[in-house]
Amino acid sequence: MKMRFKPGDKVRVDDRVAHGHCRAPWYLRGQAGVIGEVLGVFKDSERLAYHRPGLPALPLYKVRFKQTALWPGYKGPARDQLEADISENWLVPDAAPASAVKKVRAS
Amino acid sequence: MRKTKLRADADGRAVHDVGGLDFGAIDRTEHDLALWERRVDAMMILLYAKKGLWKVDAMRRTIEDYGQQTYDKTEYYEKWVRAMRNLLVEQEVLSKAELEAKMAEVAERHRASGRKVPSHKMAWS
Repeated sequence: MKMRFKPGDKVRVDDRVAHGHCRAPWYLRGQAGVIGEVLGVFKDSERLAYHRPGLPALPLYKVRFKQTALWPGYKGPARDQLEADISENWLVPDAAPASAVKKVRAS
Repeated sequence: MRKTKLRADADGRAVHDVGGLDFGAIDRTEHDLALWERRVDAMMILLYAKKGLWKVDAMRRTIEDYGQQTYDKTEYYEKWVRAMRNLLVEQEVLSKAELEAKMAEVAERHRASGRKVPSHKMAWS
């Protein structure tokens, strides 16, 4: 299967509204990250959740995010990162610098 | 009990999707599982891993479908047992009527033997 992304690629988690079972956490939607690893190809959990066969299967990536970008007022070291497993259907290429788009979140 | 935080005001944020919200410190104390919790665990594994009636993703989806009030006030295995009940009905293994009839029968048996029976019924949603 063709993988859309490779380690080191800049990506962004799509900021679409999810209907039903969704495997992209809300706090990561719209956020920029970097592909850390390609974890493999897995059946689509968002379809398996409704007793469907889970096809087409989707590449899954370990994506790294800067903690300082995710949490306003983050007190830890600037190098701190958060890793999350995100399926390809939730990722878009990101050319803009990570600070260009920031999601406004409710506290 | 956990503090209730409104998730509905954040567009597209589901009831379980609480990453980053402040619920205070996490209670890390371990406790032994009660017998009913072990039974729920065993039944869940049998139904989805052995019988293949649903995938773990469907179980998660069923739990995520609870209203926020139910989601926040139920414990881990209570979420599981509700999910199991809902999926058994959804997959037409059991009907709601069959389940309710059986629950009434069990409650009656417990009452007859002098055991305490909770007056409330487990809500369907």
